[in-house]
Amino acid sequence: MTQCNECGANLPDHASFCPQCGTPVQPVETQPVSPSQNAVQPALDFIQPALAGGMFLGLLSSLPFISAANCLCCMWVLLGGGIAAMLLTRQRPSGITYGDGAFVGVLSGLFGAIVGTVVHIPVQIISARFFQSQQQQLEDLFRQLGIEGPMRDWMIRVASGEISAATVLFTFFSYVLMWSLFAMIGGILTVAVLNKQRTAQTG
Amino acid sequence: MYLALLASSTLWCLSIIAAPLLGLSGVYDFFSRICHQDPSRSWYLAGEPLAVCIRCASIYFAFTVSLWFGLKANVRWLRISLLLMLCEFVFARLILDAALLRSICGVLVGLSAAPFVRLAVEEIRDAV
Repeated sequence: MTQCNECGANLPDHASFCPQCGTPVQPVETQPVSPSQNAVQPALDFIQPALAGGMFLGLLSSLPFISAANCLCCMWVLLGGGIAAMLLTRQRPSGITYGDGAFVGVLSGLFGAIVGTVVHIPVQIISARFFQSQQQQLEDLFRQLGIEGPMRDWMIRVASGEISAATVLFTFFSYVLMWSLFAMIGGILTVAVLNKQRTAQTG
Repeated sequence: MYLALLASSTLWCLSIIAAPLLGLSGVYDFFSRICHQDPSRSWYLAGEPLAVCIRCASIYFAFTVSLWFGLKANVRWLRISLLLMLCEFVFARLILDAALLRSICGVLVGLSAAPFVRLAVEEIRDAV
């Protein structure tokens, strides 16, 4: 099955236009296939790229100040998913599918959530000690900035730095949900931008 | 699976709007992990800032709209929109920092990214 050069969608046999984006389909010249080209595609190992992407996004998203880059729509997480997809692409030079990119992205998000939660605990304890000594100044700052209501409530809660089983679990599951999602999108967009999709066969 | 993607994307956007309307501090807490939530860089609803900043809200709302309208995937537009957003992010603090610019860049990324996520979801559905 062939893919559209523009959007990468699977094309029906003998299609003149891509049903997804309308791009005209270039006729494919039939060439003799060498035995090496006809060989079965190597199976993809998702774990190693996902671990690398997960370590990257988990660490950088949990460290103070550095994690601020996640302000740009989870940049570290998107990049982590993207790195995992890029590493996966190296295993199959002919290219991987959007589905492969999504899967390795989700895996890297899951690994990243474990790393991020583990790193988050000591970071939270250290930052809480700092904020406790500055609590009055923090309250004054919120008042000056006009931050009130639910926004102020959670800011105070974050600053208080309470560590309990409930907060750790909440942190872990919110990381799992969000980072898997964003790393998946990072993986998909990396595959799309690199335009590496050449085959619909999943390893 | 496409319906699940559509429903979850819509729910995601609705929760962003519901947070200030219903005073849901848990939703603010949830989104704080992926957004700075700076009130001066957020849209307001009922006197409270949305749960995410203008750029994020633009991406999410445009993403959902793109799914609802079934926009077609286009790699060129995706590359352009990502490049624009990167430029906007890098130069915003130096040259021009405007809510409208952040919003436009976010909308473009959301519109152009969603069709690829839909394609991936459809591929996974076909594989399963």
